[in-house]
Amino acid sequence: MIRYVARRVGLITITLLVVSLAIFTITEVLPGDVAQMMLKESATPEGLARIRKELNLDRPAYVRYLDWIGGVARGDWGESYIQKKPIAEIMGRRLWHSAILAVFAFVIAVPTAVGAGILAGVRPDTKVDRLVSITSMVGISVPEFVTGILLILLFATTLHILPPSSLILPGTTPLSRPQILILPTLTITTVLFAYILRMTRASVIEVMQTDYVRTAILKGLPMRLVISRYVLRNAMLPTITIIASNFGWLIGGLIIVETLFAYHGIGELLIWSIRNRDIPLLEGVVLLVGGIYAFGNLAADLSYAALDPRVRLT
Amino acid sequence: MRSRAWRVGPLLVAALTLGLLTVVACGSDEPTTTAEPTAISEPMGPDGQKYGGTLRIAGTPTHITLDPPLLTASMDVEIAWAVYDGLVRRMPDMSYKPTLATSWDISDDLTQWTFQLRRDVKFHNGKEFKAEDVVYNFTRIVDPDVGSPAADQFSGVENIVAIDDYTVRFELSRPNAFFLDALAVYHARIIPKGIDIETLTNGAVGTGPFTLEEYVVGEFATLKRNPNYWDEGLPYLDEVTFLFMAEDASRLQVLKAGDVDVEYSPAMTSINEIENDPGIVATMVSSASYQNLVMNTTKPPFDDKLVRNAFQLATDRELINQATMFGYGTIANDHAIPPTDPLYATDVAIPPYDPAGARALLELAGYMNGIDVDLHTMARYGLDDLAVAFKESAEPAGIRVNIIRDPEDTYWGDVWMQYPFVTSNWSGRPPVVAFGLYYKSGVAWNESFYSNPELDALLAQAEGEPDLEARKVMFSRMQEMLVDDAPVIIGTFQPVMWFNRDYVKGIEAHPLWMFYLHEAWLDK
Repeated sequence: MIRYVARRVGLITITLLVVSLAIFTITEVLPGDVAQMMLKESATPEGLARIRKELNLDRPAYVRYLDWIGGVARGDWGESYIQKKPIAEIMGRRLWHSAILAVFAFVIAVPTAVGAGILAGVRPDTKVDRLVSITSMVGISVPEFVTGILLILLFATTLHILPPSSLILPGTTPLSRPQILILPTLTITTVLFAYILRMTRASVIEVMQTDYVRTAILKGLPMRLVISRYVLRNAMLPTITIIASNFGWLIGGLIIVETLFAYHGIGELLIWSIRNRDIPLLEGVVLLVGGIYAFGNLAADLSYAALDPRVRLT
Repeated sequence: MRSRAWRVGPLLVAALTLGLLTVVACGSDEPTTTAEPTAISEPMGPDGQKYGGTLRIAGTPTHITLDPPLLTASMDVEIAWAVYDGLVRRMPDMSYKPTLATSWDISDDLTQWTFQLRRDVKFHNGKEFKAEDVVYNFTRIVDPDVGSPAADQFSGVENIVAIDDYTVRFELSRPNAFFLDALAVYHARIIPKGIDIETLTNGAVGTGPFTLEEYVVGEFATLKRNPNYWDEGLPYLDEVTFLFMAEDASRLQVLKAGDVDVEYSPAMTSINEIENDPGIVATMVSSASYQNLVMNTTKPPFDDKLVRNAFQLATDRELINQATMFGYGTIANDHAIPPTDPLYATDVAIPPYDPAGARALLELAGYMNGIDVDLHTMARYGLDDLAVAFKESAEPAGIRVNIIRDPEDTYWGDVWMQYPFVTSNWSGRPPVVAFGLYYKSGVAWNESFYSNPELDALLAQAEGEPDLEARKVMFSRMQEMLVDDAPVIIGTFQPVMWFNRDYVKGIEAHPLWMFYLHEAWLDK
C-alpha cells in the first residue's frame, strides 16, 4: 500500500512538472507581453522599460523557469505582479473559500443524487424513474452559466429570498453568511446530479437483480432493510468513484460558477489573473489546480480500494 | 412484489429540502438589503444633507496601482478621487474649486503660476501638507523613470519653486492658458513626500475626504471618513465600500437586489433592464468621451484625402447613435470637442450622410467599383457595434467593409495604430489637452498619424492665448481643418452614465468623468 502511494506520488510529481512546463511555455509565448497589457493605451516606452526591469524579464526563459519551479519546491510560489503579495498567501485564502463551497455542494448534491438514484433504481422504467432521469438530463445539458442566471432571476430578483451574488463582503467569511453558498451550490448540483444519479441507478438495478437480494426480498425482509443492508453498500462503490473523480473539479474547476456569482474562490482567481495578465499568479494557480485534480484522483483510487476488499492496488 | 421503496426516496428528498429551507430561513433573518440608519443627533449639511451611512459601489475588478502618476485602471481612478486631493478640483460646471491651493496668481504672459497653499492640512499618515510635497509630486510626474502617461502634459514646466512652506510657483517654458486643466486630472493627485512608493500599489495615503482602510485586490476596498478633512463638514458619508465583480450581469443583479447602491460603468444595453425599476436611476450627462474610427493618413487607401472624405459621407451618425448609444449619445463632428463645450465651432458643418456623394468621391479617387476595406475591432466598449453600424451605413456607398474581431487583451498593443482602419475609444478631455494628444504631429497617441503644421502652430498659439474669443477663432479654424481632412470619424459622443438607487444624492454626473464622493449622501 505504502509502495503504491509512494509510486503514485512520484508519478503525480512528474505530471505536475509537465504541467508547470506547459503553462510556463504558453504564458511566455502568449501574444503581447505583460508590460504592454498592464499599461494598455497608457503604455509609454519608459513605463514598459521600468516594468521589464522591475520584473527581470530580460533573463533567458529557462533561467526564469528554474528559478520559479525551484521556489515552488521550497514552498515559495513567488509574488503576484499586480497584488504585490506572496502568491501562496493569496491562493491559500481563495482555496479555503473554494473548499467551503465544494463541501457545501458535496453535502447537498451527493445525498440528493444518491437518494434519487436509489429511488429510480428500485423502480426502473416507472414514471418516477423517467421523471428523475429526464430532470437530471436537462440539468446536465443546460450550461452552468444559464442555470446560474436563471436561478438568480428566480430566487433573487423575483422572489428576493436569496442574494443575487455570492460576494464575500469585507469582514465576513462564507460561513458567516451561508446563504451566499446556496445558489452556486444549486447550480453545481444540476450538473453533478446527473453523473451521480445515473451511476447509482445503474448499480442499484444491477444489485437488485442479484441472488442474495432476491433471496432477502423473498424471505420477507422489509424493503427499507434490503436497501440499507445490501443494496446501498454494493451499489455505492462505482458511485464513490464518480464522486471522488469530481472532487478535483469541485474545488479547483468551478471557474464559471465562481465568476458568475462573484464568489472569490480559486476558479475566480484564475479568471482574474488571466484578465489582468498577472503571469506568476496565473502559473501558480494552474499548477495548484493541476495538483488538486491529481491528488483528488489519488484519493478516489484509495477510497475505492478501502471500500472494496476485492480490489488490490498495484 | 410489494415494494415499499417509495418511502425511502421521498424521505431522503424531504429531509434535504427541510435542511435547505432551514438554512434559507436562518439566512433570511439577515435581510438582503442592509439599511444603514442615519445618525439622528448629527447636524445636517447646508442643503439638508444627512450625515452617516455606507455607500456601496459595484465596479470592475481590474487593478494596476493606486500611485497617482500611474493611475490607469477604472476603479483605481475612482478610489483615487476619494482618497487623494489635487491643487484644484474641476467641478461639473467646469469651474475650478480651490482644493489644496487656496488661490493663485497668473503672470500676464501665462508662464508664471503662483499658488497659495492651504494650511493645517494633514495627510492620512499625519504629515503636514507643505510646498515641498507639491515640488516632490510634480517633479515625479515628469520623471522618465516613473513613466507617467501624464508626463507630456507637464513637460512645459521648467521649474517648480517652493517660495516658502505655503507658496509654490510653477515656471513654464511656454505660455499655457490651460495649466489648471492639467492640475485637475487624476494623475496630478498629491502624495506626501517621503512615502514608500511600494505601499501605493495596493494602498493610498492622501489628503482626501476618505482614507483607504482595507484593500483586497480583485475583491473589495473599504474607505472610511477622514475625520480631519480640511473642508469642514465634509464628507457626509461614514464609509464607502467598493465591491469588485467581473460580470456586468452580476453587478446589475446586485444593484437591483439592493445589495449595492451604485453600479459603476454599466453597459449601455443595461439601460433597458432598469427602465422599469422605480428605485433605480440612470445618472447621465453628455460628455467628451467617444468611440471612433481611425484611418491611417499615411497608408493606402487612406493617404488619399478623397477616400477619407468619401468615408465621412458614408457615415450615418443617427444610425451609429441608435446602434451604439440607444439614442442617448450626442452627434459628433469628427473631432474631439463636443457640442456642449464653449470651444465647439457651430459654424463648421457636420458632414451629411450622403452615400451617392461618397460614391462619386470614390470614383474621383479612382475606385470605379467601390472599395473593399478591412476594419479591425474588438468586442469591448461596444466597439464592435460601432463597426457593424458603420459597415451597414457604408454599404450603399459602395464601401464593402470586412470586420475583423481581434482579441481584447492585446488590442491596444497589436492592432491599434498598426492597421490602417481600426476602431478606438477615448475618455473625455478638455479640448487643448485632447488636441495635443491626438492631432499634434508625431505625438505618441496620434492614432491617425495626422500631420498638419498649420494645426500644430495654431494649437501652440491657442495654448498661450488668454482671451476666450481669440481662442475660439483659433479652435474654430482647427476644427474646420480636421473635418475637412477627416483623419478620424467620430459618430457620437458617449454619455457618462452610472446607475444608482434613488436615495443616493450628491454625486453629480461630470462631463469629464470625474467621480467625486465629497458631497455624496444617502437620503434614507
